[in-house]
Amino acid sequence: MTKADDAWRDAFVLELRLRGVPGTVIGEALAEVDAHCADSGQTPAEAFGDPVRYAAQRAGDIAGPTALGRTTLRAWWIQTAAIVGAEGLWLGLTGLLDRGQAQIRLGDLLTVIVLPPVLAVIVALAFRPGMGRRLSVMVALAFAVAIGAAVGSPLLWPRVVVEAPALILILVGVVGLGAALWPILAERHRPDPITDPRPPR
Amino acid sequence: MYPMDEVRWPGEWLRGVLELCVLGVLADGPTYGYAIAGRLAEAGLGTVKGGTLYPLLARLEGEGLVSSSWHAGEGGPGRKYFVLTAAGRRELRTRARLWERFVDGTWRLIPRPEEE
Repeated sequence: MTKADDAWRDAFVLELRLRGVPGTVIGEALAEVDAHCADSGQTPAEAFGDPVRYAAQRAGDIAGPTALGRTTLRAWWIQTAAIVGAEGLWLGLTGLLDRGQAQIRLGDLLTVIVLPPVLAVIVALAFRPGMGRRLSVMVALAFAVAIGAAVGSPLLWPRVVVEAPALILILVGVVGLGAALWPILAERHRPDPITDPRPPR
Repeated sequence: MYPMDEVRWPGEWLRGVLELCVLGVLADGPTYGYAIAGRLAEAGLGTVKGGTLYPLLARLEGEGLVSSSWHAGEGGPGRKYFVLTAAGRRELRTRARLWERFVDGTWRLIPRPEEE
């Protein structure tokens, strides 16, 4: 197998992983590619085209829309919980330094409401087939938007909407960040190896 | 490699008929992906790439019309064999009947080449 073929297979596997396809199913799809190329004498690129595009199509057919939906939902949950957690913690800690009361500004509320869907759209665009090399640009864009919003919106909309005890907000912050980290930590303990379905020679 | 076809069929024609033709090939017995592509090429449908064929086979399997299993290859890596299920055979019969009516309908509108 050539280096180009290895690169093809790596890109294919990565895209399937990003789409939440289980290891056994990835192994199945990979074995199909290997078997077909062994029979036809073609390279994976010749027989199956762009690996990211083929993976996107295959993921849609293998696991159905639910796998991508589950991954998107999970991403949405993590982003929203992280933003709520970070905002809560920030407002709570600054409020603690200022007579124990946190001031929630209109800009803070707008950040929590508007930022998660905006980030979700950027992330969804980043993972479209064929975006490969532009992924890092999209991630940088998402980061810039998030920081810009967090810093800028309370300045643009400084009207205090409500005051709350700082400790409550710190609690909200801790719970939010915990909720964001939970799916990530929980998954680390579930191994999902890619298994080859073919019988041993 | 199977010989290249002379005609390049319009993509929308192939997309419309490929599933039915694959079901038809499988009606003759279990076979593997590259052999299916070969039968399609021999019939004059042209070269169907793996990138088109395997997602189609996966869809048919998802619909319960086809089932698959891996078998040790002759001196090579294993091959994935596809076989028509009972539901697949029924579906093939239904679609073949519909296809016949469809094609008959089109011939009522298109002048036959000999009549030109």
